[in-house]
Amino acid sequence: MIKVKRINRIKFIFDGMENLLDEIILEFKGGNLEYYDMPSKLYKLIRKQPYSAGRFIGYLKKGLLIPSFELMQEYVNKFNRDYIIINDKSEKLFLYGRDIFLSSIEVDKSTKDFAIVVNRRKEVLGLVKKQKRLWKNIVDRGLFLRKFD
Amino acid sequence: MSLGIRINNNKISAKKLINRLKAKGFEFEKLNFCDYCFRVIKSPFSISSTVEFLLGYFYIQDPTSMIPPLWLNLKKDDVVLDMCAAPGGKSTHIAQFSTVISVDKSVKRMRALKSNFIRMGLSNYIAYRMNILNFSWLKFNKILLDAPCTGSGISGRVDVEYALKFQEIQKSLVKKAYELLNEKGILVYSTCSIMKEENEDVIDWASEYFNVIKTKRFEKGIDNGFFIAKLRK
Repeated sequence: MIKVKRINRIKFIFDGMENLLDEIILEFKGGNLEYYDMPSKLYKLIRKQPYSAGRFIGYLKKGLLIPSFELMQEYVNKFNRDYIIINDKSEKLFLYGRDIFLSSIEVDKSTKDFAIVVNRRKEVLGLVKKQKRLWKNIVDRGLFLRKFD
Repeated sequence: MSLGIRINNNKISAKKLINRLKAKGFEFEKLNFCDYCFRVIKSPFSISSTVEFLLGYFYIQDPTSMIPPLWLNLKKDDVVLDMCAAPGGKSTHIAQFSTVISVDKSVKRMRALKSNFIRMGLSNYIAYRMNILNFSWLKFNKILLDAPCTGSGISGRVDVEYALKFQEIQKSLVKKAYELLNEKGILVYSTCSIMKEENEDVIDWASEYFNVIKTKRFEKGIDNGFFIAKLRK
């Protein structure tokens, strides 16, 4: 674990996301580099190398921070952009790891090649990347079952 | 065995979540010891496959396992040590109200703990994968020790010899908790065992060092057998 001193080392997908982070950023080595943030009050309690700590904010993939669901939710709540709303049927399929067809999208507020996927309640389900005829699944909340069950 | 859910009131109110799950065909009974704890009495399908579970709105847990953190009377500014924390059921419960230092030595179970914290969107925690007997750099006012045990509260009675093996571990952990507690600090000790050797006998031994505030035994019935004790240094 190391404390990240310069936040501009990390490349964010969505503009303004870096402003949502807490005082201290920690980098953990795993399969991918993982990042967590926390207030200094919590950081002061750390003495030895922890296994994990604070709010998970994402992992690095090909130089980009793939944001955590919590960070994406905060971003959608605050900026109200860069998301697509999908229908209920597509929600289930997406959570099984499937991609999203354009016909499943009810509202498109995307501005980039990536979009945050939300349901009709604007709850974050995952992240997708634009391709020719669909949005490709990058990460979805179903992984909590697929990976750990 | 009955199944319970503990609602993550940092993310959603109990009323809102229960209504959402009821609309999907689930039925619940509120547990009398906690406003955000429910017993599932009807499941049309696995509750862990709902989007609400994936969104971190609740944790699936045996109802009796929800009680030990409540005995700590958690406050916002508390920093609580959870000595045998993985896979994180009680640690995530503590983190709904206070800061928790979660320690466990199991690699596999720590992965599950991390996943549970991330799924539930809880951030006021520090997790260490290590033997708690080597932890020494902080002292606490509140400690939870959900000790390793025979699991006889789930599986049924076991040989006394087998329970005594666990008793040795349990005593060494209680001793460690004593070391890590500030004066007048509170230790909540629990096991999912119904064996006297792992429960009352351990507490009798510990009463040499601690004041025993209260104990409660749950015999195996609709819920798993369980034992809890609250001690003051």
